[in-house]
Amino acid sequence: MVPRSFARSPLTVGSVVVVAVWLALAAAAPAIAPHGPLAQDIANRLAPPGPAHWCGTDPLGRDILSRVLYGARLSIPVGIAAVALAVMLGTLIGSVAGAAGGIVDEAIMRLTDLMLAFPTVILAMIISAALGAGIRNAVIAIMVAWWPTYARFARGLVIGARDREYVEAARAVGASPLRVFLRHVLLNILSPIVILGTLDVGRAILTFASLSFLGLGPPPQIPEWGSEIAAGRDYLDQWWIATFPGLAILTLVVALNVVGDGLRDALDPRLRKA
Amino acid sequence: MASVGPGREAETAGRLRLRRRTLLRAAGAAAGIAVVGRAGAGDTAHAAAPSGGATLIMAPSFVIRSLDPGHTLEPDGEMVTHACYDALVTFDGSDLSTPKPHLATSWKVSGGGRLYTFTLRPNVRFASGNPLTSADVKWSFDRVMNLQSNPAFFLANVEEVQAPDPQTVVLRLRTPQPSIIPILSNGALGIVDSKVVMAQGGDAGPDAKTKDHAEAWLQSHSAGSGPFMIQSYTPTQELVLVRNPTHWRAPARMERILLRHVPEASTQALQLERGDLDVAMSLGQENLGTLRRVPGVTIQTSLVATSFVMMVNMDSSLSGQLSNPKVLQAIRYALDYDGILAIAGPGAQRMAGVIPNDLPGALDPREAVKTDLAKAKAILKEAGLAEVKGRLMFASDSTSYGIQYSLLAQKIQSDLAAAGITVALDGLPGTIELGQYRAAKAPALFGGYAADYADATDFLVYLPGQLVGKRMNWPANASPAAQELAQWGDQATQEADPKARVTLLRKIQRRLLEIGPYAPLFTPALPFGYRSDLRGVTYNSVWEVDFYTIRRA
Repeated sequence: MVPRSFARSPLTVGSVVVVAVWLALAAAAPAIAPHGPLAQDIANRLAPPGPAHWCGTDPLGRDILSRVLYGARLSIPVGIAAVALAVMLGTLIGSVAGAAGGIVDEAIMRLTDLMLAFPTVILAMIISAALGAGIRNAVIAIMVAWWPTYARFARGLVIGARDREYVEAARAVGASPLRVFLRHVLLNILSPIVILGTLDVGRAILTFASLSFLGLGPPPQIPEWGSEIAAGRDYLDQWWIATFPGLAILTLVVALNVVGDGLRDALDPRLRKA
Repeated sequence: MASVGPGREAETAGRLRLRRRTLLRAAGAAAGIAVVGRAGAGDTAHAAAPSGGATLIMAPSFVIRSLDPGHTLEPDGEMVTHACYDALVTFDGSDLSTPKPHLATSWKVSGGGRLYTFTLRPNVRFASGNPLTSADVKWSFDRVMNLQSNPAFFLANVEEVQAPDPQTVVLRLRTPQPSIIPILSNGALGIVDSKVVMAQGGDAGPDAKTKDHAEAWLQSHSAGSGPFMIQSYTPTQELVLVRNPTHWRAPARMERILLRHVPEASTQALQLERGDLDVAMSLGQENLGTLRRVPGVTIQTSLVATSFVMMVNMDSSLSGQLSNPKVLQAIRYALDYDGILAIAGPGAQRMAGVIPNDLPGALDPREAVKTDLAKAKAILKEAGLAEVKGRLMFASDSTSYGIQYSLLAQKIQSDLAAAGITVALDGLPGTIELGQYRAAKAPALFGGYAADYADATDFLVYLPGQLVGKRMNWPANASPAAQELAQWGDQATQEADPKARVTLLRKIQRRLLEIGPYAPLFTPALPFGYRSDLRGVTYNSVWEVDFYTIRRA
């Protein structure tokens, strides 16, 4: 089903490979990480990259390569989960608005306008700080900050779909409103929403890393890219502490974004080149 | 605690330090999220005065609530009052063990340890030219007591100050308190020129709290006999001191002292490297490596009168099994003290008790508990405590003496895990963590208590029923043993014989480790740097840097 234009761009293909490699590394981290992500070795603290520690060690003597690999096991699922939750919540609220119309629609849309007026990262920070630091709360924060985008999108799609002939037909044969909505409207608008969500996974990973950079993520011993960068920011002489987790975020997020763009271009007929 | 700095309470990024009665908290909060970068380095305005020659340029953390001796308590404020006002006694350099005569040439103790009679140095004049007499001493002390401001607690035990003749001052205490001598060295107890300050609205009477209006004037002027005088002060930005040409010990070598606000550690490092700063006091551990290689810069560390201790709340509804005496014992054996010292940085020392190593009365570091994982496990096994769980609170945004609290928290967590004690880390912003600790709600935590004055008895706050003890929900009547410990504490405060006092303080600390909820970690060291052509730069825990001893080679 993937159009040929998608496969033809070397950048997109390369990015797919990068994402695939990261997924494989995350899955295989326990098998391939040279050290435990929590194993401290104070005598060997701040060791530069070398044969014993390919990416050096941090101020507690932990192996940075192992922590970066284990970090992927947290960042990728968290990014996907945060987006999935935001998509679900946003789609639900948005389609209710689109389907119901009138005052309900009006109220929900003004609420999304209100939410969208806040910069999302700041909003996520406030929510995360109010709920307390932690992975679960960071995911909730991203979900709460992001659902309005999906709600608007879903509402537009629902409004576009609700008067189509096949929906009319379903109504005409006497299907209940709920059945019409679930089987005929929702199912048909789902794929563009899922694609938009895929596009956002990279951004969610970045937002999660930002939150934990600010101390709003998991407890400090848990390997997580954002907090690893935060731990290294005072060590200008020991560049390797912040550099490797930084590279991890860079490669994964850029690759995810390129893949998302490629996917969008491929599936959007208006953008497809003749 | 952004440092359990009950003493100097919030130690946060940078080294902002506030003491017990100080109300300034906002500064600590602002230091929360500090992204260190070198970007700001070029922004700091260059002062008109050229570096070098007889001007000394320094960057303290600039937490100065007041420069009026009757109100100041912050270390940076005391650095200035120490330079402008002479006290009755002093200490040499970084020493905190031997009080030296200063404005008082000698003192006698009588009346069962309650009467202190000081003989004043003859022919001392204030910078104004007025002679310094016992009337000025009495007026200065009365003013501090009656203003009831931050430093008033220094003299809380003083019943009356008498000036029987111009060269003699008598302090009558309520109870014997030998620590009054080191206390008198604090800059806040420097002697002010009563005539000048009275002319500026100063008042030392019982209603001084409302009647005294001299603080505003004393913010930009000084009225002491010290080696320097305040020339100008722009709050939070710049402070200029000039030499007092008539100082009784002979004028200082430096003509001017320029204190500038340079907020970031890495900016200070860069300016020191370039020679824009002569002395930098807020250098992070992470900048030291580079600075040590810079020619023309000298890096030193100075042991400070602060005790870093891990503490557990005695209220088991908060701390769970951690407050079990067997678990406390196991914690003390489980900690990897050598590793913790590596994090504390060069110069820090292992501490056996709760009194910092640089104060008389400290336990010999060789007496300290040795790491013994097997023993820790055996103790837990014997007590039938297979799985111990708890929570360790820490200030996630705090750094003091270059030590990142989050690193120390992770180190402690990993050490305890090796012995089978699982603690979850609860990182909170420094100000919130401090609040939890003060409200006696912290389950377990660690931090540094900094001395308010150079005396070991200041550290009896750890005893049951005292400041820190209460915050650990450990009242004096917790047990007969705690009661006895509290009594020993009272005895130590009053004991006049230095030897007997040291013996008693050591006995107290040994008992404290048997029954108390503490695991002493280390006495930290402050890294500071200065241009190598300077001589006589020392760091003192109470007044930081003494400008008088500094000169250029």
